[in-house]
Amino acid sequence: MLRNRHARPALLASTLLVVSLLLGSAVAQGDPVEGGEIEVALNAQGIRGLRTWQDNTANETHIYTIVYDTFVRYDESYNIVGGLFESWETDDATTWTFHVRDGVTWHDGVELVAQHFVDYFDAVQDPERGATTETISLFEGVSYEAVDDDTVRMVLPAPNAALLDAFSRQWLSRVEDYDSSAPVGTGPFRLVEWRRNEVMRFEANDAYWRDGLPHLDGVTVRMVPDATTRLNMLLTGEVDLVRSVPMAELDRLESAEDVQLVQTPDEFSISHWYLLFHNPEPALSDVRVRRAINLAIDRETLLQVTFGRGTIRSNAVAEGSWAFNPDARSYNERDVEAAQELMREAGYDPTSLDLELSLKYWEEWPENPQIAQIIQANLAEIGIQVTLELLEIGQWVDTVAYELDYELALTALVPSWDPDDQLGNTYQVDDGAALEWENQAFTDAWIAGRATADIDERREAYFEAQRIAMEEAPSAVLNGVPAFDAATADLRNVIRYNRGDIFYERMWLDR
Amino acid sequence: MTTYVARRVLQMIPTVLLVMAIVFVVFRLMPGDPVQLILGADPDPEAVAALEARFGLDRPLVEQFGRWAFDAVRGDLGTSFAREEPVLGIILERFPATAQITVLAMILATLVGVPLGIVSALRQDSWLDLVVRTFSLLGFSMPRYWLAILLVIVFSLNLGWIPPAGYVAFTEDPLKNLHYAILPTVSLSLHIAAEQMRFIRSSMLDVIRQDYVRTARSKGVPERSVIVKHSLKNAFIPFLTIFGLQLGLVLGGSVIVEYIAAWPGIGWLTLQAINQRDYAVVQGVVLFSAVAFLVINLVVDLLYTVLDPRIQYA
Repeated sequence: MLRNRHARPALLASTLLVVSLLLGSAVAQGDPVEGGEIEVALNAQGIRGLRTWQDNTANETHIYTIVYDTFVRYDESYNIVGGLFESWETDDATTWTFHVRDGVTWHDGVELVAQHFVDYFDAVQDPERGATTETISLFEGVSYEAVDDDTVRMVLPAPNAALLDAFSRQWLSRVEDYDSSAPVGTGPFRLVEWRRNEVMRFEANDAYWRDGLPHLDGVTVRMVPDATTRLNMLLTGEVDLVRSVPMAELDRLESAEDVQLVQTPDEFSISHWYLLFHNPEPALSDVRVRRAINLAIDRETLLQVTFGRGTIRSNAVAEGSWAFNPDARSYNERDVEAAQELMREAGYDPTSLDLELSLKYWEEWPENPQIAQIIQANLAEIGIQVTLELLEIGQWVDTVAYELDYELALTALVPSWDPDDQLGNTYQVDDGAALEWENQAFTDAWIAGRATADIDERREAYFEAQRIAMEEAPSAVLNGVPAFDAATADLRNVIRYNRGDIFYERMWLDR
Repeated sequence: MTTYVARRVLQMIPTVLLVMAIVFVVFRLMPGDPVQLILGADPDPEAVAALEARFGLDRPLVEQFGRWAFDAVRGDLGTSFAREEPVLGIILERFPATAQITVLAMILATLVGVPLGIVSALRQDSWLDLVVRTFSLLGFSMPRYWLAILLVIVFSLNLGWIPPAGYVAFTEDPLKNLHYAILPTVSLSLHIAAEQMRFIRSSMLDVIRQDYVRTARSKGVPERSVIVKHSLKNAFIPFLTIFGLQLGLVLGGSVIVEYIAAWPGIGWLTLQAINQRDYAVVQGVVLFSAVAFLVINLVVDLLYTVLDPRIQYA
């Protein structure tokens, strides 16, 4: 049986991750203008430090994009390209050789070498450092060495073609002399002033390794805890950029002059709402009931919860992904009659409300109660009486993810871009995961997808995994979660990636 | 006097210890674990153990409390879990911002509340009294956060006179600092002014009906002197009590106003620390505020002797 230690933490992390999500769209540009400084209003909650192995809230990661670099990164077409690792080789997705990019220096002038990566890997596994579970498990059973100053070799305990995706979320800090008050990075800007929970000032890194970048001279991040206050600061010109705009405020911003909304193209959106089925429950162990629920959910109406924004979806893999299987069964369109017929076949009277199921949800996202109510109404049409149970988010995690004490449960997932995580995170390929759905054919396909670095072989494996998952319907993937940032109209090339990252080095001011 | 002060200081000790014990216990009963918040979901047991040992969370609660109380007496409020920096330094870093709007709000409130309270008392039941009382009631009823939002809508978004939020240290740019301070200051001061207005009015009404005021008037003492010398001075003694309480409360940090105005003071620090389950900082802030509150009230008690020489402390 495959053990995937990522699965449960991933469900928890996705459930708890309360912000930024989508992939970026550039605003019409023109020739970059050099110089100028911008101010950003950011929620201060959660910026504890810049320890990349430990501090992993959305706000902390946002600061990482300014001061650090990732091992590798996604480009605007969502292909993996070099970061601090300029290139790599692998034949079997087990042994990897990474080449450190030439000419990269830390902000204090020290040259980046392979040993810095090895020190980071060591630190991650040192319990005293307190690294996050996700980071620790990435290096579990992995052997590595600095072959020379320019080369790192890694041998994984099992093939993992999704390693590069994981490395696109690893920001390199220099651990051996980490200074919490003045962390040193290799990123496009260097930290010059940090008044905790008040302001962070960054100056352009003149020695940045990407030629011609950054365009801006500096970035000032002001900590503003209240979302409405942040928007007011944008509208009055106090700041140039705010993150994670509440959906209810979008109309106000759209009608405002000199303000642009920044979002991810829908097809690249990775986050989605998610209805878990506890598969061992008698009714839910029947695939006909599971399909019926999927067919009965009105995803078109769910879209109204997000003011018509977002995407209708039922597949765990985003439509823009190279691994999206367009031929897999879809539940995007509601079909109540077919759902009722499936219920009849399963032995339930769709007009009687004989089948009772509870639905546990949390409300830290304001849309969740509405979504739960819509599902309740939808399922009543196929003879399922749903009882809604609102839980505090921590209690939800304990009850659903650990105690497995639920029938239906609503949450949101924020997987990575690689289909390995989109499928693994959603269907939790783990013998102890919350769905308690075990399907060897799905697991085999999923493993085959990560066992080879060949993109065609991977695609074929993930197509099969999606086909099985959509046939078996062990849960219901719901609509994509829309996410927006807002900026002044004269701030150019603001791109929001699908995990919420914004890269400041590419922005410029047309002022 | 010295004996009195020493006695009062000694009396503070059990109060402070009780506050410390309550906040210590309450925060450990709250759901949420600081170590899990730092390490994320499903953390590695070894990492948990290491972090708990570093923060002293692996020790029995009584021992944790004892150590904290012992260190606090020596001026060491512990180390922030989230920032891994001394708590006292963090509090002192944020205190000037709160102290600034506290002082400004108290000055503004007193400049508005006291004169209006006096006029209201002297013109009891007149239209002016009615206006002042209505204003006072409004000030009482209006939540501070709501007033802050109204001020932003009117004076920031529509008129563009003041920034909706922000902070620059006074030492960095005094004018800009004061510009940013307008919103939190006015938001805080209205409620204080309303309270002072009602209190000084009631106190003045009580005093101006006293026999000695009537005597002063019948002796032909000018009305101005009757009000200022004979009435106001005596009315100020109970007023001083409420002033001290207000000062102590606001100095402890106004969470909502600081939150809305992004004013980096004690109140906002407390909210952040609670969200991060940073016990050390919350305990430190509560202790700091409790001591500040007690000291201010001691000073107020001592000021009574200045206003009324008949009051003697032995």
